[in-house]
Formats: sequence, structure tokens, C-alpha cells
Amino acid sequence: MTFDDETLMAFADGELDPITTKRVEKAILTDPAVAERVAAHLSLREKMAAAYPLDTRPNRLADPLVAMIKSNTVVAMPVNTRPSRPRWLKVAGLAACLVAGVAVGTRWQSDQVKSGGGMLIASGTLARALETQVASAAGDPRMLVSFRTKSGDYCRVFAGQALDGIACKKPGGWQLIRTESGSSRDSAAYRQAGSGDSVLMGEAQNLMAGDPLSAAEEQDARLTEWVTKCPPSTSNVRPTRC
Amino acid sequence: MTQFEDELVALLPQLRRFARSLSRNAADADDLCQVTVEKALNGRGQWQSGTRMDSWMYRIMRNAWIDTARARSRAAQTFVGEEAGMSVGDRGDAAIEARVELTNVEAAMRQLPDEQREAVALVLVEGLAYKDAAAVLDIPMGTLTSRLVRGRQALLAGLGEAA
Repeated sequence: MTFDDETLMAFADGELDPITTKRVEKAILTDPAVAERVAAHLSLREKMAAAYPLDTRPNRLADPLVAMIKSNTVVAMPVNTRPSRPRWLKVAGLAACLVAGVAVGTRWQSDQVKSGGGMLIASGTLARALETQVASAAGDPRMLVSFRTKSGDYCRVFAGQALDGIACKKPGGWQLIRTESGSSRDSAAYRQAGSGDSVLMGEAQNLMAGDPLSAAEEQDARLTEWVTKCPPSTSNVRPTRC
Repeated sequence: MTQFEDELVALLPQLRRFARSLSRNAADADDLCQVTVEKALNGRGQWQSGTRMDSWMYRIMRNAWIDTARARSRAAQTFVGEEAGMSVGDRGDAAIEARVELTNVEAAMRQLPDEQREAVALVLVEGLAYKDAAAVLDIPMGTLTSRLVRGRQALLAGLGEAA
């Protein structure tokens, strides 16, 4: 009995019905040509599996796709329609937005942001989280990815109830170089997040020199570089916190 | 994280592999994964909990690939890929032979017409059953098996093992 190549292929793939399977098995024992062709199909399966192994990345925390997925946490919205989220706001426009946001009173928590020297600086809970919280630890805000820029600054992408953004460590504190309204909101109704977080992650990738920090590198930076150093003392009074 | 995100993160190794078997180079594969995950997050409302997410994701990736990568891949095909020069200077030791072997498989894959390559990728690389692969590609089973058998014959011939 002869079999066409489609049947022998299906045999190698385990896709034949039981009766035809039995027939092919019998033919393999009696017909060297059938055995040879089945062996070739089986060997090709093995070669394909070896040529395309599963693509696992060792450091899941530094994986931008994992971060993107995590940052798109289903957002809870109190209403059915959510206005499209603002696109990237330039630093120049941020102060005005901040004022408007505070006036509205829901989008921005004033204790998380302050302005200084023409920049927006993280303060309060956001500043503490930026300095101390490891990436992907639970909390609000959450830290998504840490990285170094081409100019050597340490930056972190964060997502919180009030604010999402990218902050970079500067001598004066954590400068918010990108922000948008928070993605992690609580409510009973689940709703799809916008694509803003992927924009943030894309922006981070543009700023990034090399790979995101590993957990160990992040820990190292946290202990040595991130904690705001006390400015040189100008009086005998020691500041309580700096 | 929700179940949706957990499942999506768990699928990333397979999605990256599928992207690599569809694309002609690593950069295209990375771009394809990025676009696919974005589409999945934006379209998560269309995913029904309890159904197979892998098939859903393969379908999104395959459509994204058709949308964005084919034109670029065709353009790239007119140039000699880097793999053509990779076996030059082969000293014949085992490690190099293993690498050349993998390169041959990938090179043979890249010679396949798109329709055959995606069928081969889903069945031989991703290990989908014929009916699931046919569903991902939205084609009848007979069409799938015919593309698959032609793809396999071409691969076997390309690898010097004509069946």
C-alpha cells in the first residue's frame, strides 16, 4: 500500500485517524521507503523545534513587554466613557496643566509634585517611592522600569493613581520629564487602559542607554545614587531630612 | 495583575518565538511582538475569558505581520541576508556545526512563501494541531495541510533531505 506525502506528514504530526495510523505503522515495518519518508518528517520536526527554541528572557522585570502589559492594568473607571488621555506633554506646558489639574482636584495630587527652578520635581509619596521602591513592588505609585540615560542620569518609569510618568534623578530631586494622568485607578467597573503607558515605555526606550537596570543594578543605584544627599550645611542647624 | 495580564505575560516566550519564525530578522521580530502586545491590550475587550488566549494572540500577531512586516520583508529579500555569509570560515567543530545547522533551518524557512511559512511556524514550531492552526489562519483544513506539505517538502529539499 502506498501513502501520499500528506498522509505520512500527518502521521508524523499525530494527526491521522486511528485506522490510517495503524496502516502506516504496518507499512513502516514492511516498506523501507515509507519508513524513510516518515523518518524525514519526524527529523524535520526535531530540527524545527531546535532551531526555534522558546524565547525566554531571564530578567522579567527588565522586559519592556512585561512592563507594558503590567502598566496596562485594567483601569477602573467610575464612568463608562473615558476621555482620551493627553498625549505627551512637553515640559513647558506642564506647569499650566498642573494648575488646571489641581483646580479640578482629581487628576493630580499636589503632594506628589512641586515645581522648582522651572522644573517639575517629585515630592511626597512619589519622591519616596522613586527613591526607595524596587521595580514592580506593589504600591501606589508602582515603579515599572529603571534605566540610565545616554547622559548617565538614572530614570524610572512609574504608574500611579494620580500620575504616570518618567522621572530622572537630578541634584535637586527627581525631575518629572514626562507625565500623564494616572492609569491605576480604583473603582468597581473595569475598563481598558489607554495606550498611554506604551507611549511612556516607548519614550523610556528612546532615552535609555543600553538595557534597563537589572534588579541588582537597581538596588545598587538605590543605595548609592538615589537617596538625596544633604546639601552642604550652611548653618549649625542640621536639617531633619534632606 | 488580572488573569488576562498573567496569561499574556506567560505567553510572551511563545509569541517571541512565533515572531521570529515569521520575521526575517530579530529587529523585525521585536517590533512585531511590540505591536502585537499593544493590539492585544487595546483589544482585550474582544478576548473571551475561558477561550484559548494563545490562538487569539497568534491570530493578532499574524494579522499584524501581514499589515506591517510583509512589505519590509519583501524589500529585504532582494538583498543577500547576513546568514549567507555566516558559514564562511567554518572550522567544522561541533559548536560551529550546530550553529550552521540552525542557520540552515532559518535560511530554509526564509525561502518559503509566506503562506507556507506561517503554516509551518504554527504546526512545526508552535506545535498547534492542524485544526487550531487552520482556525488561526482562517483557512479550511485542506488548505492548511496542502500548504504544510508543500512547505515541508521545500524545507526537506532545502536541508538536503528530500522526502
